[in-house]
Amino acid sequence: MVKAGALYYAIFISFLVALLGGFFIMNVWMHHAHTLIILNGKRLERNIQSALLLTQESSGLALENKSDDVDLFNDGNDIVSVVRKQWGGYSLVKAEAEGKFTYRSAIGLYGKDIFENEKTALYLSDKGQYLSLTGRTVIKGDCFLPKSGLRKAYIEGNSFTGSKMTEGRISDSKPHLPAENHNTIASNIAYFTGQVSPGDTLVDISLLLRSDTVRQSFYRKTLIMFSKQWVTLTGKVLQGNIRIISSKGVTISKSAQTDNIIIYAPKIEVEKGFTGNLQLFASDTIIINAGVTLLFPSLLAIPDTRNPKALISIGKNCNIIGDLFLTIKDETKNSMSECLLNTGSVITGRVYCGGRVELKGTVNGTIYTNRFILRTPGSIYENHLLDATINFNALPEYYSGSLIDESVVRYKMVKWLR
Amino acid sequence: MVTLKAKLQASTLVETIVAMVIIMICSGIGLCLFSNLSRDVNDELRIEAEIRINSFAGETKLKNDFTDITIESPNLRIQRYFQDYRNMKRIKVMLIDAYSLSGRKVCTYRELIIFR
Repeated sequence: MVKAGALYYAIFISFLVALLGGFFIMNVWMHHAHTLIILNGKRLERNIQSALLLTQESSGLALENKSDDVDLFNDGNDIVSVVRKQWGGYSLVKAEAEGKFTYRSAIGLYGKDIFENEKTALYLSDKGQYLSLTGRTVIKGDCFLPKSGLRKAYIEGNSFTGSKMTEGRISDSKPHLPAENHNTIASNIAYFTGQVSPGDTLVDISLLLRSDTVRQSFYRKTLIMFSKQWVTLTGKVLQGNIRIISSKGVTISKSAQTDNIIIYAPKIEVEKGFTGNLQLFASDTIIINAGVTLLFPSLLAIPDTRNPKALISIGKNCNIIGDLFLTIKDETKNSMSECLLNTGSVITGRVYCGGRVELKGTVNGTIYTNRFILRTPGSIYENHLLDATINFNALPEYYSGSLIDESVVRYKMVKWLR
Repeated sequence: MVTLKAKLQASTLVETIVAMVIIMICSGIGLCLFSNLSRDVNDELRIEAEIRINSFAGETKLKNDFTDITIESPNLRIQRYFQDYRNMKRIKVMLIDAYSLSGRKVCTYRELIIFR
């Protein structure tokens, strides 16, 4: 027999109803919260895109190593924190946005938008010498040339065969090349002497020798591998936020795989057949052997060298998508520093050479140089080009130059980094 | 023949009324909360609006179509317009608002874009 006592039953049923109702409410709330998190995440992603666009367009925003909070729409709701760091010859911008229960971040690699002002194919500084063209030499794009201008020449049985000497505007050049970016140079030169920034992680090169693969995210501290010996990279996979520094030199063999890393050494050699993407900073010599492909964005740089015979040598049939950069500290007339591009090789990018350039291949982009040199079996000619091609118009519109110039009007994204 | 050994305690009228009131209050509160929450969030419409807005924004950027426009769909009215941004020539704010058929703003999309 059931005892009477409706109050107890009522309380019990109320409890059940409350429990059931609570589950329903919880379900709706969870669903709602989940939707909110997804929508907020989308909004934060848009804000990050917007903030990166803003840092790209206004070079004054997000200065080097200084975090900036950008209130995108001036309402305090859409705030993105951006910080810029240098990554070799390029710039790295990290954007972070935080919302209710959500957080988003992204890192982009930026170069210079070289299509903004200049469409220069050739800048030959005015050292009082004219430029002689011969054979099948082609120059497409605007040129800055010495006042003495261009001439056709007949050497080694070759005369100039083209219909036009240049296809583009010709302006007078100055006695010196356009200024380089001293900050970019100084911060990279510091690594030659082993100066490491406090935020980096310094490890001995033995870590690299022990492992086949080293990956370091750009969200983490930079991994710096230092060696006082000559380093040979054979069969190693190196990806991401890694700088390798050697006091002697580095050899990169065909079997190595690299992506986004930077190498600093007095001498660097890339062996025949290598394919990868890297930035090389040397104080003395960079030798790229035949058949090497360096993918975008690569950079070969000898910044502010004191070696009068500094050399960047590109072997036959190489394909380099990136910039070449050689500057000389306290240049004298005896300086023999040069960039050499052998036959069949193509550079898609810019060549900035404070010494002289021997051009036997093709540059799809721009050359800034003080002098040209042409070596033939019979003789050596100054400021002569034979069967060379310089074509700014062949530079892809998505190309983004390294930040070696002083004047950066606008940045341009190279790629996303992880 | 069964004989009653103990007395049965019946509920008093007051007890029954109190119990019914408690049950009604609890159920009422529960239902109220549930219906309010369901009506407020209206997630389905919001998600639909968000998807439509995102795809519309993507199309805008892909086609470089920077004209102010309003489009209607069975459930939503979507309005796209552009505003200047901090005296920057190349950058504009792209705003896309989605309204329900009753005219209530369901969601807003804001993004900086390069104005070509």
